[in-house]
Amino acid sequence: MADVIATHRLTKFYDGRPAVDGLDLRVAQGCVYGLLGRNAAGKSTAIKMLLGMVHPDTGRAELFGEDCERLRPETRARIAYLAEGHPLYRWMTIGEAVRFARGFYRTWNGPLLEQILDHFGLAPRAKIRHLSNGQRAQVSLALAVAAEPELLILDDPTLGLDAVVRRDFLGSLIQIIQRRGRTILFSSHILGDVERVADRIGILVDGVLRVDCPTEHFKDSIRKVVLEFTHDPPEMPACPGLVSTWRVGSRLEAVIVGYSDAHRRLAESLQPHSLEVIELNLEDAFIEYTRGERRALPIFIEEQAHAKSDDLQGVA
Amino acid sequence: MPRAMISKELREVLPVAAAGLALYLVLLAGSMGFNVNYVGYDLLPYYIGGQPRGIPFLDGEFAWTFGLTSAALAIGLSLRQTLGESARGTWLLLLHRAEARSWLIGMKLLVGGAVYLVCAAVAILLYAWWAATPGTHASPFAWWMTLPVWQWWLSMVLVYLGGFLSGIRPGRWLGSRLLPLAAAGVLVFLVQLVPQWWLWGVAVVVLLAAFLATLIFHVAAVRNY
Repeated sequence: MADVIATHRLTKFYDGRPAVDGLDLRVAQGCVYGLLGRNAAGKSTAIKMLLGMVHPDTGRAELFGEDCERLRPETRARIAYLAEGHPLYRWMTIGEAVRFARGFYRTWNGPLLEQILDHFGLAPRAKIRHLSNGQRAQVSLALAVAAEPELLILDDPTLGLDAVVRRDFLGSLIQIIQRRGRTILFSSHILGDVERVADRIGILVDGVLRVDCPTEHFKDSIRKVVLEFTHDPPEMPACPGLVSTWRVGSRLEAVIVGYSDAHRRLAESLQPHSLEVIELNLEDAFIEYTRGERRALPIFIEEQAHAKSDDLQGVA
Repeated sequence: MPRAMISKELREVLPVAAAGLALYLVLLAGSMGFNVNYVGYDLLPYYIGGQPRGIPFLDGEFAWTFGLTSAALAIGLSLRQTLGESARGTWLLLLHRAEARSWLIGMKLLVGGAVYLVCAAVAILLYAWWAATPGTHASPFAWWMTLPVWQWWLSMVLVYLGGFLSGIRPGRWLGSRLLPLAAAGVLVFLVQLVPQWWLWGVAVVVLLAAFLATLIFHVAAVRNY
């Protein structure tokens, strides 16, 4: 499959700090790619660079083999872009927004648009300023899809939507994906959304793409190892795949990518009282992967001590 | 394509154009001798009215007040078209339309510039129509008398373009951001000093307008959104 999106060492600095740092990303045709990252990880900047809205300091990006800084109108017509927050002209009615958008495209699937608006229960005469965030997201999606794009780029499309609307929105997105195998790149920090839709994920941490693999592979390869000791826990020795460690009370937690027997033997060599290996869902895996090192919080230990003494008093 | 863009831009600048026309009407009413000094505000004499004026168009104060009103309209239009998009976060929506960025910006400039020129021309023609009507004032009228005001009318295109450049140009410090607008304002005054205005003055205005438009297209192409 040809790469619809390709970036090479794409880098952007803001105030001397890299917002996106050497991004090498390839998204094949038909792929649904979830770009994950915490706030300010560089997701929106990366997406804006793909669409020529932000100019990279170094590196380059291509969509359909065309330099993103000089996308021709014909190429833009093949790409739908939902910007963060679903910006629309609030003074327009939905009907006016449709007429405005339709004016720029040669291919326009009016019946599909009507179906989608009808599905969401959106009346063409409704003013956009009177719509909720979720309804604005639905209008944006309908307008984007009506132009029959081959590539959809969605910047945090479910941001600010409640759980029900989010699920409905994603359901519609899945239906759209199933039409003619479109390529989709979408960013999010809601992992459940990505898990439901994406078949490949990338994780940006401080502007650097740390993970780029199939969704299932990421979930399968990351484990949290919990070691209980009867004394203060020792340091976890450095080893390949060790993402982070955290000591709290007599417990040592380690997050490891590509967990194997070698890791188990290493953990057992610390002679813990007990050893537990926990499988993580995507959200937990993402949080553990992107959180980095944590400091032990003494207050938790004090609370534990208080709780223990309270328990003892209760028994007495 | 042009229809969708023109219709959208016209709808967005309509309130500014209406406010500009209202200002012109107050100015004209004052010039025609109607008392429009409802708020007791007398900074600009021609907004006061209530007393007979000198010869229409040849009284220097009219041209000056007309120029200020035109500048207000031009600035209002240009900032509405630029800062309006920034405030609503709709640059991303607009610039991803299946058209070249220069085309989209060019359409904005054409619509905004045309709205300014039409509104201001309507004001001049209304005043000229009143001045040409016998019995309205005790002085002669000839069309050449309107030329100084047309001069301001055309020059204020530079203020519109300067305002547009200020609006589209990112800048953290308000002073540096307003620099193009301030520079355009100074240029408008300097241009009035050009001799044989309808020959050389027009040429200078056209050249300066082309320069400002080039800067606008350049900034629109290289800035981050």
